[in-house]
Amino acid sequence: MRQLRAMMKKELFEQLKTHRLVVMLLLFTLVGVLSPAFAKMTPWLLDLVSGDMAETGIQIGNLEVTSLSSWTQYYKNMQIILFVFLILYGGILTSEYQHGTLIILLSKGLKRHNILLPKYFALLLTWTFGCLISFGITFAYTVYFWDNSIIQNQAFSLLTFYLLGVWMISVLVGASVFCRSVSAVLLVCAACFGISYFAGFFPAVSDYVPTLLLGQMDLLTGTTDCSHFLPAIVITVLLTVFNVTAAVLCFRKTSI
Amino acid sequence: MDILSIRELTKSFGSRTVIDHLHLSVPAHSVFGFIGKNGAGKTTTMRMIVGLLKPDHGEIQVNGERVSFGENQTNRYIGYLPDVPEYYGFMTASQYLTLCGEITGMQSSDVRRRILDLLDLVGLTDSKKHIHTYSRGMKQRLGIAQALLNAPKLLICDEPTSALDPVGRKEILDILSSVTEETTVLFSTHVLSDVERICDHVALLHDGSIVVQGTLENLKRKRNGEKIQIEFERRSDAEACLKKYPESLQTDALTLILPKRADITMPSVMADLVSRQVPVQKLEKLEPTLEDLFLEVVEHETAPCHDEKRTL
Amino acid sequence: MSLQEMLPFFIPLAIVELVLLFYTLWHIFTHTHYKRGTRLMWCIIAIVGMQFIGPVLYFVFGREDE
Repeated sequence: MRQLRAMMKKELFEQLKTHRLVVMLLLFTLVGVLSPAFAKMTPWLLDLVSGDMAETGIQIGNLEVTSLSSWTQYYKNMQIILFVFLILYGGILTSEYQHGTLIILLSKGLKRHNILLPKYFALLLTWTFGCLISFGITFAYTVYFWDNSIIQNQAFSLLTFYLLGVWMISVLVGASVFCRSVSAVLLVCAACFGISYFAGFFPAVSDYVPTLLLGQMDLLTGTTDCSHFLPAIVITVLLTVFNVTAAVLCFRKTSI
Repeated sequence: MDILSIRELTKSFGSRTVIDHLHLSVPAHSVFGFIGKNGAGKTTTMRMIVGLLKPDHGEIQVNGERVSFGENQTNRYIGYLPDVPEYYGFMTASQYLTLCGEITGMQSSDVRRRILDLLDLVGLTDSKKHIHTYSRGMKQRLGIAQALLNAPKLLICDEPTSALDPVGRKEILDILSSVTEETTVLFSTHVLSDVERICDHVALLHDGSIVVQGTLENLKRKRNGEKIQIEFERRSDAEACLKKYPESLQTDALTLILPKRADITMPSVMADLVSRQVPVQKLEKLEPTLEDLFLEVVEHETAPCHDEKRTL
Repeated sequence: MSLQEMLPFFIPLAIVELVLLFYTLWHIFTHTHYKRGTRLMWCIIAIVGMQFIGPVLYFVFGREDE
């Protein structure tokens, strides 16, 4: 337990000292502000292009911006932020392999799982905190400018997206055990995401893939019920637990 | 009692056998020199002792307990300094040592006191500096501090003096010889003078197995005579000397390397030069290379019995 | 749509982006060695890189490991 706490402290300190924490938290803040700003600007942007469009014969009706536009922007931007997050933290274990910084700690009797778990927990902490910040900011703007009462399943939508991130981070940590370079780790992450995404096109499995959890729009408008997402949530949580457990077990027998 | 004993240790990477049936025993409270050329398998052996590599075959015992790969319990007896120690550059020395102390499970009050003592011992008292600004020698000294943190029974140092200048080298050796009261030191090197300066036991590793092992005196006794090199001022003196010792090796017109014989010693050569009033530019005892030592020792071994060779 | 209407967005946006930009520039100027590229190149990327891409690129590909 003391090892876990000590390594957890080290991970967070490292995030801070390597500037990743500050950059990431600024990005979460940015998304929080940017999403409602985009929604607010949409009619004005459409005005700008509608002149050109009219010449080609396309008519644009008067688009009404609601709180839904703000949340649409929010979840779109958060997908980008998730990928930036993975890129920024892709080297969390591989850089330690490459520099050999684990050797001394292991020779001091550090248990292998106390390397991997603190890394995962530290990433989760950043992810959780970041999601809450950006959500809070967008929420504040949306409530101020629009009528937020039309939004259904507000908290549940955030939860689904958050869980998708939790799963992707577990893929990152799992891939780090086997891959020795950042690019390989990111490739595995992309592959896992891609497989889940394409499996979503097949009706037989489409209700069970983790990427189903990208369907926040249907939840917010109330087109889909929460229960529709339950199987995918269970699968995602199970996959996450599996990834982390498998990573810990395999890491035990990895030569460093 | 032996603090470390290795039996039948074998390790290969792919088709290359790096360690081949290695036997080694290190007595407690000795300073044990582990000598071998680069690539002889010193680092591989040490990594297996610390449980970072999985041996293909054989057994390692530290303080009577078997070393197992992966989750290694015997590491609590060991302090390890890798060949190129790498730290978290964003930390200061005391932050890093605190992390190490927490990992080994020391009491936090003990850790603080111990860190101050150790940083004092290795001479890293400017604790505000971040490790990424450290020089090679400072990193090496921090490496010794972290290895000594948990008061280990066995201190393993992998080439602690290589890539250091003579001053840094002497500092490290002084630190190592100052801690022998509390611990056993096992260190690897390819520099013979380091061994002669602080070791009492040695083992010579060649091609993955121990060629010779024993006390330093035993090894020295096996070395017959010493090589002396003279650089004369006058060509005629060199020629005269060559006539006197025809089996000398002439490297250039002015320089001779005298043959190794029982009667050719440094005092006798000096007395001879003085009595004949021969001026010289340089007179030096040649440092034997590892290759020389290896050849000498192996030649010396008539090796009638395999076991005798192992144990001396 | 008036500028006034957008001010509640622009002010925090400007603050966050400027903080991010100066944080990055400060790091670039306090270091002399980068994983790849030169100081000038990273300054341009950080400034030109839209919104946040420049700084992220720098911290992923430019910042030297310590």
